[in-house]
Amino acid sequence: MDILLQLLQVALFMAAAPLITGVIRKGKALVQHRRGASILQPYYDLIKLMHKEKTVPVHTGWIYRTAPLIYLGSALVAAALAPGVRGNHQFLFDDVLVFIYALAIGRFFLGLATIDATSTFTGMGSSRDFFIGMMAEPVLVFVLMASCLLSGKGTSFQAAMNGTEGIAVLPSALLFLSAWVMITLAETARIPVDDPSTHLELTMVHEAMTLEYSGRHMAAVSMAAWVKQMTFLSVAASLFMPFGSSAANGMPAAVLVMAGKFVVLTLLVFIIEINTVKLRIFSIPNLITFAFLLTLLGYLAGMIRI
Amino acid sequence: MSDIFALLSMGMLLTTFILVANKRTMSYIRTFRIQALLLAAVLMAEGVTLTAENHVFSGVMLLAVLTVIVKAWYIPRNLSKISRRAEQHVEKEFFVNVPMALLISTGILVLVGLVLSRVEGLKDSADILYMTCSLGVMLMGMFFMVNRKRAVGQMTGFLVMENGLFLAAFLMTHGMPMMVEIGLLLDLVTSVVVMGSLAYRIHDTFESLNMDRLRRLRG
Repeated sequence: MDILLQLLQVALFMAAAPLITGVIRKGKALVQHRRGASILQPYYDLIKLMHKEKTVPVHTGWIYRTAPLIYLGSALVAAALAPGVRGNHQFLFDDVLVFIYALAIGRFFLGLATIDATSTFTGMGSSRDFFIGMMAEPVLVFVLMASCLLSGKGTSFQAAMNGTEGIAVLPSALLFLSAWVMITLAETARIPVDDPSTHLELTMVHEAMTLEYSGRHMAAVSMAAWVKQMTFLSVAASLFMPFGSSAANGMPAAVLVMAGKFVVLTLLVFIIEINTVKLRIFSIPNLITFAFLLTLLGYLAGMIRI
Repeated sequence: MSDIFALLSMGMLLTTFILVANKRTMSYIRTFRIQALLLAAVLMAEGVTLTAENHVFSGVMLLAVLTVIVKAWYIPRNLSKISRRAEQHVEKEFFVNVPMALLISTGILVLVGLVLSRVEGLKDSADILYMTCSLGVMLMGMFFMVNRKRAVGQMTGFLVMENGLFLAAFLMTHGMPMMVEIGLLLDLVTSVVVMGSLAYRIHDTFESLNMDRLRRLRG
């Protein structure tokens, strides 16, 4: 039963993740006085990519071919662990460290594949991605661990969720949320860190990594990136916006509240996206430092409360 | 109710952090404006509570409106007028760079938290949180003021400091006498006007708002 719920969550994430991207793109287009593509465009893109022929560079080996699947798999594992609406159901492998390392495996293999593709730009992209990831990951660990520590019940998402239930830790939740949003922007290649819509090789990070991929490989990589983004938003929604997420009023109500939080978070990402410019790559450490300090403060604020 | 205060004072702390990390004059004036609005929201929340409890119109609500007018409209407008005069809108010189400034501000905050948790009379954890936030805003504002070299930045730092002080006084006493508060706001307006005219003079003399140019005045 619990496993079914977990699988249902993964399916739901796969179904809804492209929509979030579509909505953000549409909103951006409207702000720029363009009509923009339909919010369903990411789905059409996926279907198109599934039907297209895939081209593989000559000198590549098995890593290049399996990496997209591993990347997608890692994102799906993360989605399976994400603390969505779960009530009191125990999820398999429910641990924040599994979540973090699942994402790390995906990043590692995509990085390997970019080197395997022997293109200059992909290598450059992965070098930047690792540079950002190297700084963002400790903060990621710290935010999740701090919320687990404040709950005092172990390192599972369940514990963190139970710990943040109720309004008692609101100040630290606010700080964690701000830090988490920054980390989300860094990890999912959104605008202050990376511009997802650019195709200028000198500035792009995530897009540069996927430059050589086409056809079904590209579909897997895009899907993984979207699912990863939704997973990050879901962690923000259920851990750091601690209200209404308990299943006390029944699952349907909780799911509705969750959907509302997703709308709010998508709007937040969208507002940041239209209001900021892309940072220079060497200014990104400032952003991450900021996120780290916010987490530290959130933790201290939580300690004062206890 | 105390959760709203906690959230708002935490928000003020957050805006102060954003200020410390900010290099663009217009952007930090805007952040200052948001902070002033948060302060006004604290006053408004208290005013509404008092009115609901005593069934008498509370002057604190009036004070909230005054705060919005003075701190969120008049003063930021003056500041942006001054900074529009100067050509440079991005501060490039600090005494310490941004990540270091953020680390120092965190250090300040941790120190404030540690000191306050050892104060005898302060037992309630909510009070400790309020005091940490407001004293943190005050000291970080002071640090911001010291770290900037241009007049607008230093003025903003001073005003942030004053915001922190106001918040501390207000959250601890739940409203000082009306006359005192209005007097404080008037003082602030006067000081901004005086500082503004001084900044204009400095700019006219040196063609810059950089305080490093004031060599002969420094002790």
